Amino acid sequence: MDPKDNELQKELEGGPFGPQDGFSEHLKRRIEQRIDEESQKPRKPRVAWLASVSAALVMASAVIVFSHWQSLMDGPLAFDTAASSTEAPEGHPLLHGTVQQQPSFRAALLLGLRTDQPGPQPGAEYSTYRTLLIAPQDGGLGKTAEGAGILMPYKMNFWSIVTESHESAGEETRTLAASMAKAPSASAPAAPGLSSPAVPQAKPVKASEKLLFAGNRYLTVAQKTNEGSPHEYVWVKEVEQLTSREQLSDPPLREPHVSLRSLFGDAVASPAMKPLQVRLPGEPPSATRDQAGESWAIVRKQGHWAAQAADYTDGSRYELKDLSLTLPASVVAHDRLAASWADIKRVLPSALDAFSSPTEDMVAIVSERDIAVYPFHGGQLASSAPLVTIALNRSETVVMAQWALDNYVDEWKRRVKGLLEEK
Amino acid sequence: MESEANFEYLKYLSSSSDSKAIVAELMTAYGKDVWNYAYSITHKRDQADDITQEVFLKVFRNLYSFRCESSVKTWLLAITRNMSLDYRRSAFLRKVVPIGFSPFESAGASAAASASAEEEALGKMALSDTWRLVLQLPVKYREVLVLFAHYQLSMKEMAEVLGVSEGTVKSRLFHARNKISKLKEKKTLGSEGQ
Repeated sequence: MDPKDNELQKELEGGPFGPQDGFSEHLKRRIEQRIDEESQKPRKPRVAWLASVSAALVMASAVIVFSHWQSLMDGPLAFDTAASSTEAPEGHPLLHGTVQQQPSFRAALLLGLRTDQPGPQPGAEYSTYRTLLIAPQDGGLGKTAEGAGILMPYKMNFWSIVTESHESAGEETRTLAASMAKAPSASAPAAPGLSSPAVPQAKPVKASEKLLFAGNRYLTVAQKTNEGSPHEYVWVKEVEQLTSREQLSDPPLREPHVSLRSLFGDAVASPAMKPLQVRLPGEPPSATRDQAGESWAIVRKQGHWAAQAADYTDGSRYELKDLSLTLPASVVAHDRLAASWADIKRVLPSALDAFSSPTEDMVAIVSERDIAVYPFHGGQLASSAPLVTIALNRSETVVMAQWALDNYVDEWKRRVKGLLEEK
Repeated sequence: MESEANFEYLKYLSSSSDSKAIVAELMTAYGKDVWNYAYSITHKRDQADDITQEVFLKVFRNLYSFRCESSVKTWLLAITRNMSLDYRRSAFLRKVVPIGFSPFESAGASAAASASAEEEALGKMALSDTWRLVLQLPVKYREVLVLFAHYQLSMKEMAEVLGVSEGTVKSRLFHARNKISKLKEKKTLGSEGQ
């Protein structure tokens, strides 16, 4: 390199103001606040001095979308205009008769499922998990990957949530642990309970955990302890709080967890908790009621995820009570069900729950026996045979539903297949 | 670069990814770079603040549009450049010529005087000598020199940020080096650069 270039690089290495940072903490907080405001509003052109340009682009886009009825986003077109036909393609008629074009899909669904199994002895019940990916395949949809355990997308990568079995003094503790996922190796021994349904050992179970929900970065974990008198607890945790450990925290409030207060702020959490008058876990009946929402859960209700507070008035067990709070996008993104429940029931009368893609091109309907995925286009749910059907085990429930869109679908197909143990 | 490795995951975002947390991490890693680049183009602190805010807002809105054809840094700097130039154009159209623009673009203004006035207005903030000279250059030479010497981007990366061919980058860099050398010479000889 030219010595003068070296000199220039050295002289300009620091910013214009050297160590004094133009990008101050104040500015960073200001930007974060704007982002918070924006995330709570529907998106619209915001920058005043670019408003005219943005508005013109939006208008042009709206005209094009209206006149041609196709997506402007990169990736597969919603409809293949080159293959227009007045006859419905075989197997894909819409509710109201003929379909003009063959639908294509822009989303992939990563499902996490839990099956509760009876144990060899009372108090030794256990849970097994599996993850599967439903993605576009051969012009339709298919199950492109499946494996044991829970594989969830989180920040930098995919993370695995597994049940670890720890033995001490002739007793077993089964806890959940999360770590960055690695491809299964033929030479490496499988982690306990990872590769196949965990075969419970014939040892007394001191404590156990099971996963009720896995989302963007939060999990709901139910705990059961059998030491002394049995107790049950439930917590919402961040993924990175689920570390490998041999025993649960005592007293229970020491358990790493996320309170409603930390998520929503006191101004929201306290008014939501106050009417419920719930008792804190491990606290005597005379103790102050839980105002901060220390113990709560994210549960599945028909068509959406909901927050419920845990009341320990019973002492040894909790009772979940509905909270008048809407879960933010940071906890559950894309929780809107695109199809109406009436349409879902018309297609599948035995439907118990449903998930729809953010791209509104598919709906996965859950019944007691299976999960059936139907095309969904133009606001209509196809009434033909489903494109994919996943048989469910007895008492198997959905604990995770994550979506990949457009360009990320292929990446997920490739990476998830490599990370899940193939059956 | 470690920051680049840490943001490899942007390629694998899902619609349910925590956009706010990701943008917060991007600000931690690249906030200073974005601000410095915005400042080097506009030469005004408050404009650099506004532009930095708009850049990260745009990133928040369009996180999934990152196509991973370039590095995260060049992607952010390209957005910053476009935002800064739009900001300048809109200011120009409003017949407002902010202090600090190159003398080649603000007729009659002395760049050195502008720089000094800027410094005084900012109080304790002190530009290094070399930065003062760089900020006197016309924008198209200023930014290529900043991308080369401060951000140490490759020719290919500079071309991506600037939206020009590598040949154009090389030509501008050649002229930028010459101009800065002349400014340094004049300074050494005792006269303020014009």
